Amino acid sequence: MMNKNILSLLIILIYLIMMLAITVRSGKKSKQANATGFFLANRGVSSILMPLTMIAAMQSTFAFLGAPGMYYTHGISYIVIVLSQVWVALMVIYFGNKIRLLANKYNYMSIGDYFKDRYGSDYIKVLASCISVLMTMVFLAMQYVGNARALQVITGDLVSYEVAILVSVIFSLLYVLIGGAGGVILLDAIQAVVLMAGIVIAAYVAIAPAGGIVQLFKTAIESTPELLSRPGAKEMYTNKYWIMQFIVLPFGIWFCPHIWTRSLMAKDENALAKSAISIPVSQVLIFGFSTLFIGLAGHQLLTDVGAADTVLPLMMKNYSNWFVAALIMAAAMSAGMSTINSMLLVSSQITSQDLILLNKKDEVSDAKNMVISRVVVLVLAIVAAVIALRPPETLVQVVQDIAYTGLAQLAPAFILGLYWKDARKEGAAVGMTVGIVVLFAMRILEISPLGYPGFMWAFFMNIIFMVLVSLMFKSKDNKEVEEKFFSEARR
Amino acid sequence: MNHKLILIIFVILLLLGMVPFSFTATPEPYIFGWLPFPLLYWWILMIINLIFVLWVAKKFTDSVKRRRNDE
Repeated sequence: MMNKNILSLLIILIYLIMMLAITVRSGKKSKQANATGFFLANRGVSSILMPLTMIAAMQSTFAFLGAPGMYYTHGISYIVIVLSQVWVALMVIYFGNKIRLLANKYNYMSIGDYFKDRYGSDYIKVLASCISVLMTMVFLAMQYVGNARALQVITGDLVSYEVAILVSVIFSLLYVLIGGAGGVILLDAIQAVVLMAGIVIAAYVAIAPAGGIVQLFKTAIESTPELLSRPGAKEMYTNKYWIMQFIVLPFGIWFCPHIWTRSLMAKDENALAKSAISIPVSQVLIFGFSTLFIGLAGHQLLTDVGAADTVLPLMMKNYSNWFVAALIMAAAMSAGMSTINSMLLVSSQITSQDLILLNKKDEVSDAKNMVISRVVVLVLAIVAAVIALRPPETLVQVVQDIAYTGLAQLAPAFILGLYWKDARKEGAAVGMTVGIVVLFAMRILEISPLGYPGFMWAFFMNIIFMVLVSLMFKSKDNKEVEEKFFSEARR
Repeated sequence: MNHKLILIIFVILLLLGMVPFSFTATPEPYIFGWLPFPLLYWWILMIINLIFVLWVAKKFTDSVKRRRNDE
């Protein structure tokens, strides 16, 4: 048994080292002497690599750990993630293309750059950047947790949780610091293929001992029918919570900076459209079918599951041979690593370019900018690892409840700024501030007025304040904004 | 791109998923004796959504191509 654990660890380490070799090689080829090269791969990612890098960024350890855990705990209602997040694809096509064109024209590197340009306000830029970084750090920390759990379970506790975090941090830092966005894109593409293949194989492994798909459902009908409809075994997916998912999940995921910036990396519209298509395709494969089967099978076959997130590694460990299990967990770590890389890059981009160098970007040389950016990558990885040392029971719940709800507060100012010429900086500033304050106040006080979750109140108050305050300041001169952002629409 | 048509279809599909219909609160009837009806409904909706997104993406790239040719 001991030998199998060591061999499993070796397979995962070999995989991580192979990926590092690819990163070193492609990092050398890609030009990253300046921040645009380092963070946005020179805005030139092709239509072949764009969909794969989108899948790699979007499909994280949630695919292997979080989603089976959610299906295991709540049943088939978790399919709401596919039904709601499919609309991220339309956001990429409509909002993503619009912001890509503006970014190319005015050299935006982040959502903060856009907010500064559109509203002429440092406050909005800093607030949006802080929301983006803080929420991404929560998400990032959960990715480290996922990777560590995967490594710990599959090696039979040979690698302790803390050491597993350290391994994840070291490899992610090497990938990002050596490769930058240019190096990571190719790595992403490989990891996307590996993770998609891995999850399908994992589903096959899980279904077989349950007696096949039909038998899986027949057993569930007899033993756990509460898993087969809303609101689920823990009665979480009530009517109000279900509706909320259709606002939180699409906005929350699209405003994740590591997803949002993908639109700025696209070489052209074709690449952007392909990246949009990759979202529902991967969602259907991973969340629509594979993880649903794994979660239900886990419920029937596993007797002693500590954290729900360990369902998949335990299934692989118990119902496949050690070699297949190790390969699948390498794929799981692959999913985690690719998302971690994207998150590290984008968080350090926002921290260094939008917060530390706020209005001094032009005064700093490219070389100095790169040093600052790399130091920030290092610091953020360490902070996320420290957060990860105290893991929650379920990854998905933390990210959905904290990160996605926080990031969705950027949506009103962003979308109204693109399509409503009367959207004013005063409205955006008040709306965003009210949204964030209400969201976290209700979370801390643990209140849900009229039975609606705090997020709903925060999001709609954000929109209402944004519109009302903008209308109050409508008479203020807005010619420059109209000329810059809306002149083409008039023609 | 026919934005109006896309918007109408989008709203219908969004509502079909977003509205917590009462039939999704019970697993019965079991189609073929094993497939819970809510899951069948969500799977069908999921595939229709996917086809719709593929269609919108195609329309988008076609319109970009047409615009480039016109220029």
